[in-house]
Amino acid sequence: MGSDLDRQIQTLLQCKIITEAEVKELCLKAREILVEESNVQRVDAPVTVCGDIHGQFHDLKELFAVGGECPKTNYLFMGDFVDRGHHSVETFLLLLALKVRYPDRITLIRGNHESRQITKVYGFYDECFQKFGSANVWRYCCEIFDYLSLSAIIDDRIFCVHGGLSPSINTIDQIRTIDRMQEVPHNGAMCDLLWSDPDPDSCTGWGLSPRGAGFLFGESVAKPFLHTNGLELIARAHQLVMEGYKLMFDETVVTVWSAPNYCYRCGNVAAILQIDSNLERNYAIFKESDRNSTNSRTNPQREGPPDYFL
Amino acid sequence: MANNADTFVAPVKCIKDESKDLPFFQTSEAYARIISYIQALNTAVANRKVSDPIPVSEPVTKIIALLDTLDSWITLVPPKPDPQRFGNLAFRDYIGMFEEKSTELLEALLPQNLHVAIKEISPYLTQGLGHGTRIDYGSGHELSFVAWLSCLEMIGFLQHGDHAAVVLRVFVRYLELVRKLQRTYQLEPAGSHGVWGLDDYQFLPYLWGSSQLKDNERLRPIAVMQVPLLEQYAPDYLYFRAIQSIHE
Repeated sequence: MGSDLDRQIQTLLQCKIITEAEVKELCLKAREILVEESNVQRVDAPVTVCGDIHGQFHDLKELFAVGGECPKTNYLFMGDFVDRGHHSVETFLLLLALKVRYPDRITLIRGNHESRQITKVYGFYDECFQKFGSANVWRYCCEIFDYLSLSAIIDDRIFCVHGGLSPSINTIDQIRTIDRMQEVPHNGAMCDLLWSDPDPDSCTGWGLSPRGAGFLFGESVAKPFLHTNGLELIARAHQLVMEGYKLMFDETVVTVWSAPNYCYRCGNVAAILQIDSNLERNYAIFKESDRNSTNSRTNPQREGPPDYFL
Repeated sequence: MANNADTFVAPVKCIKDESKDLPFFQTSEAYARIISYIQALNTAVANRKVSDPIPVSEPVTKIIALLDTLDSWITLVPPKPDPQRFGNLAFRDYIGMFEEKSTELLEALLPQNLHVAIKEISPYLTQGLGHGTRIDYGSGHELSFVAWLSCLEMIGFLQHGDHAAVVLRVFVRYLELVRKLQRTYQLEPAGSHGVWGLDDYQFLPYLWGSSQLKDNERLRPIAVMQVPLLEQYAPDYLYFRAIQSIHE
């Protein structure tokens, strides 16, 4: 079993897919591990915190090159592993395989894209169909999405969540009471945690989110939340950042974005947040992989013309 | 929309719960109207080049002048130099200015007897250039602009005879405006499908653009992969211009 998993990891590291039967088994094993995790998963420093990946597999390899290989480096990924990029399948399965192999060295929390509704539109479903010939792998992965934690807390001081805060949630304990093992709801606390955005340009508390899910929250919401819960930082992802990371609200909230040259067009750099055992923080920046030039959209890598094209 | 004073109302967002409201919308009269408008425009430009001589009415000329005005405002709201998350915050000011002046713009565009419709049609126009808070642009904004154009036909400002000009003059001018906004303010692609879609921002240039090339025997879809052909055909064909714009 262990050597199978190692072999699968080696396959995935080369950006090659494993079989559907292997995916099914991997997901079964992953479920057993994830079901035991809390809605607010406790993580020990040192750990490296990462933002959205969105199927940019070769850039994930860059991330590991900069941050160190797993399990030598401990990792926490804040969701949005899939959609938009070329390799959502390889990206998610690699991270999942690493989780099964080294469950205490890597933590995966849920992003708003880890959802059936969203992945049907933004590419993961299509990619699964293209690579496996059916929707089965997509279904297995969507079931795993339901088991992913909603958030993590590092040494009781750094709170990590994909989107942001919720008007329904004042304390970390309240998050623990959520029944998370379901499709991401359209509203409510679980939805807000995965969809909200900090809004540094409004000093007022809560605002309606133009995304149509979650809320905007200002400094007057973030600071009391930190204070009430004894936190020093909220790390989150969910929003594209040109410089890879962005600090807000007197450096109490940070957005970390880990997909360089997003959609192979946006021209941004990516970042990871390296937290050492003293909770000292360092932001490491990285650019897109050279491998991407052969994978950009101007050179479609599919065999034969895309269905819609001819 | 009848030409009756009390039937114009400011539009409100009706699609809130996607699972219920979207299927409802898809069987609604509004949906039928916008789809049939897009299809009518599609028919009007079949096998036609941008440089083809087509009738250009006064209303069409006035709409292009309105787009020229919107374009000229970009220099009045230059991008802010200080570091931003991604999109430039100056775009908020640009959209703010646009929203403030939209009634004035529409009063100058439309004859007096149609001013009563302004409160209903104005939001479709002001939401046609991107989102001021998110600082992004996507195919939904493009659709909003086309919805505005269809409103202009519904109230009688534009006619059936304007269909070809609406695509080959008005929409072409609109695309140049929004591409400039996307570049200048570094607008985020809203709802992009990444590599699972051809374009991060636009959709209709591919639909109407394919109609332009419908019976074209010389140009095959693979031609868009060749840069010299892009340069040659972009001025006349929306499809080629859209692909050229991606490369820019």
